Amino acid sequence: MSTGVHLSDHKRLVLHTTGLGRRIKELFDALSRNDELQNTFIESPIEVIGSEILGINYTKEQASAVNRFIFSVLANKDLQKWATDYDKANVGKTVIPEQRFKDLAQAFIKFGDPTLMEALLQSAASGADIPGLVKAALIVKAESVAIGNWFIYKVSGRLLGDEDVVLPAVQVQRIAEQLVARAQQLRSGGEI
Amino acid sequence: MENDPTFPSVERTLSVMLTFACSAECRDCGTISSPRNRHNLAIADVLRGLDEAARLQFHNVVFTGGEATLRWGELLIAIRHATALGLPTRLVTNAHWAKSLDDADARLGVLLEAGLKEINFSTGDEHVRFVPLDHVINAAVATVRQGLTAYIMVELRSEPLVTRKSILSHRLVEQLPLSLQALIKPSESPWMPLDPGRVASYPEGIAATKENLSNCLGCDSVLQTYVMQADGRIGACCGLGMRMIKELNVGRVEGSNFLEGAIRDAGDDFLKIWLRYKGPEKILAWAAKHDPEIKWEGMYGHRCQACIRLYRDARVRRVIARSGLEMMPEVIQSAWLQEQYIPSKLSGKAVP
Repeated sequence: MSTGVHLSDHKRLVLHTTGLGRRIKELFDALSRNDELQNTFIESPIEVIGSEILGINYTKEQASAVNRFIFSVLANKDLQKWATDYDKANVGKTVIPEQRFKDLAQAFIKFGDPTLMEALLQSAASGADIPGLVKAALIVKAESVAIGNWFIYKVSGRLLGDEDVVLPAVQVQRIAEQLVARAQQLRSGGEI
Repeated sequence: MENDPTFPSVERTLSVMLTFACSAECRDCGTISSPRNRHNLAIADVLRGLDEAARLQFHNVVFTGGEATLRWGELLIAIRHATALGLPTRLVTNAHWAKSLDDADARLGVLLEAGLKEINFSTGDEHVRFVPLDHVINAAVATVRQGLTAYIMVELRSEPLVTRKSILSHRLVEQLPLSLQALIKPSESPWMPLDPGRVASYPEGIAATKENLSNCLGCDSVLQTYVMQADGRIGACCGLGMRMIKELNVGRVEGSNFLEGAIRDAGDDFLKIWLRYKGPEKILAWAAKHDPEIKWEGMYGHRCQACIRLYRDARVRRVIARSGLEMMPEVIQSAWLQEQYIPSKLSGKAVP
């Protein structure tokens, strides 16, 4: 089957920034040495990238819109405790993946900043637009790694059926994304 | 690489295409190889590339093509040279040379004597039009008898004749002791049309959609594998679209330090970094949010075809060129989380 894709390649499509690779490497090195910068980067990467990589200063409003959802989860002690308790409560039990996803999604809503979670899920389910950066931040972050904290590994790693394997980071990211996608499905189906 | 000044800090692979010539002429061959394609790399250039790869502390070397064994003498020289430099080597071949078990044993013996550490075979419905499956089986049997694992890449199509199952149930494989059968590892990979507008038929669930988009990972080949191609270009991924996407070519085998220059040039392109940490399917999905006319769901079972699409579709290119940099914070944060933060949390160690 052929579709109507119009091909064009008369110009090279590169987003070239001279020294970009070197500056990213330097940023990572700086992050490894500087806890404060690390925290800022976790909470607001757009600020750090803007100033360290691009030389652009974003407004506070723009910066704060990014990552609110995800890092409210990362920093949430209640959710971390929930994950630990959930593990303990289910030792030796067979919890089907569907139930585990549902439980985790409910925990997100309960502990993980329900306002933002609701906004995310409603947006994803309805396709309605949320103006500007807020939507980008929510969707982008929801699809990204940030949920990939240790509790995701602890809770979801067992879905793979191998409790002893330490998952590489990319697998954690994948699981995190699956969790969010599943949460969206559950929400759109009215199950949470 | 220790003290690697570039990003990302990964264990890099040097892929060497000694030739674009091939004993097969598969439809939609990703490297556009054929018996009539006579591009060859000079062995002196290959050896210089190996020297530089060793200096840059590349992780390994892969000889692919085209069919690398068509340049048998040069292949052996290159394997010996890489081995002497401490670089592990892998060969990707269609096994046309394994016409019998004796032939397979003899050829494999020479390759191993030269220092080859790993061998992969390519087969499937297209390949077997030119190289019988029995040849692949002969080569795989000879490989596992030597105690090596025989990795076999099988084209995945809708209703294929050659499958993982048909390989494992081959008479010669079933006659092997179970311990050696376990060393034969066929892996099915979607076969793709080179035209990004053509939609191939795949088993259900293979092609990317919104529902399975979260399963689509970043492309771990781009910025990790650098390819010395038979026509002298240097590719920045091992991908099948490399010969069709000029942007994935980041230098030429010319002068001194051509690999170092290619690595630096590739690492300065945010789009390649984006591909590495998000993958082409998510970039297409992102572009479609900006331009709803961009259709992508259910079209791509092979991510290289999705990559060709994003580089060659005028609408996608326009969105990326106009708005792509807005993704920089997200992508670089993903990179950091993947490479440093999450590993440090999983291991319980502080970020290095």
